[in-house]
Amino acid sequence: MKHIILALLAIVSLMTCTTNASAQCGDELMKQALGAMGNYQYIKDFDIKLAAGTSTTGTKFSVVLNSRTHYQINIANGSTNAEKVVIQIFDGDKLIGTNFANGKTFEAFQFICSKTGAYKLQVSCSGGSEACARAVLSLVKQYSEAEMPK
Amino acid sequence: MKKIFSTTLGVMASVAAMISLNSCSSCSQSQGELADFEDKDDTTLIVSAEVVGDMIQNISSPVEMANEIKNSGVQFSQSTLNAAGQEGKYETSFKRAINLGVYAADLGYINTFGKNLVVVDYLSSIKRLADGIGVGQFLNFSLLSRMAKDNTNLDSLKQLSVSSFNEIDKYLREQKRSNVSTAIVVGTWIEGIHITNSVIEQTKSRDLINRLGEQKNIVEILQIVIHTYARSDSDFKALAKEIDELKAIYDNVRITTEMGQPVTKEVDGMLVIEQNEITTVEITDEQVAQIIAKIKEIRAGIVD
Repeated sequence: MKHIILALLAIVSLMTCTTNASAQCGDELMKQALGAMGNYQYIKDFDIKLAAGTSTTGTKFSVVLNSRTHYQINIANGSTNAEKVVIQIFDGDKLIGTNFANGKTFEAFQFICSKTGAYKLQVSCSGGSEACARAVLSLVKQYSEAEMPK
Repeated sequence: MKKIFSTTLGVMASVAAMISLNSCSSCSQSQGELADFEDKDDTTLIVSAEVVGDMIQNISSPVEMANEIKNSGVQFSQSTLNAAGQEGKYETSFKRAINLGVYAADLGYINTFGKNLVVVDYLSSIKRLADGIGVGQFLNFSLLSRMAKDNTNLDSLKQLSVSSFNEIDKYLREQKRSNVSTAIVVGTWIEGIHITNSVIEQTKSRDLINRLGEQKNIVEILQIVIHTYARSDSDFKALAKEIDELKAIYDNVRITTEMGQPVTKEVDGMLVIEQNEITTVEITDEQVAQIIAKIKEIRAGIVD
């Protein structure tokens, strides 16, 4: 009998977690990220789900970015996340940048791209805890050759 | 000491890196209206569906293309676009999918120039093509049309249009129908380049010519992806032949990158990452003319 109750509790607990996860990681996060994006132009969004124990290695997305283009990424973290997700931008194996800088994890960052190509976004949590987030990529500005920041 | 290297190697490295990616998606089989797509699902691909998805995601953003054209100062030109109402002549799923992509690029261009009177006609064509390949549920036609007709909140109209196509792409990949998604992406890319080319012909804009030259990297990715489906689908096989010919022209375009170290700084509380590499595109007028002619030929085969 005790085993049956424990099993039922486990099922109820699992269902509750799933419902919470859905509530914490669904459309509300997308709305938050879009709200934080401001007046820039939406290009794409990334639905980030990191399972416990795997979030130090994280998950990856690929994205084609263009030269002479200023992008912004806004990240909305799930309210139950133990820590904020970290996004790293890679060009092949070369790390270009990350939203973890100066000892803090930024929820928005901008990237001025100078080479058209396929880039990799690696998303992780340093502590390896379960996490969800939504990230929105937007267009800030396109520069002419002459306008590119030196 | 700065190193200069061929960007082709960079593309190959990127593709190789993407091939090694692990992607997670729970996929169920759904062919629906796609019986005439010869490659029935993703199980026979040379490169896996996940990798194809990684390689081709966001290859052609109508937002960026349209903005760059608007920034060049040219006037809106509806005659450059595929006319709305042509969807009835696209009778196969491949034709519907690739022309859905064409219309997606056209819609991005129209939205960017705020030509709302035209939007509804294009939305109607898009909706019919999307229904024809079983993804119409992702386009809230009545809401999009109302937003266009009301001529208010244009940013939301643009955003909802783009996100609808992103949802279609995501759904198709989850359903192991990445061949359909690839056809849409190719259509969007071809139409985006076609519109860009029409502006290059008018303005000879050096920025746009360089952008056209940089597409060499994208053509290399498209070639790999399209050949993946060409093994078992005659539509993709015909498209692969066209892309091979386009790639042969691009082989003579030279792209070099002067390496630099990225810099991260905080500006007014915003973290800004600057890549600090200098890309140089060497492309002759003759190569530009050859690429424009080839794109026209490929597009004609798609929309006519």
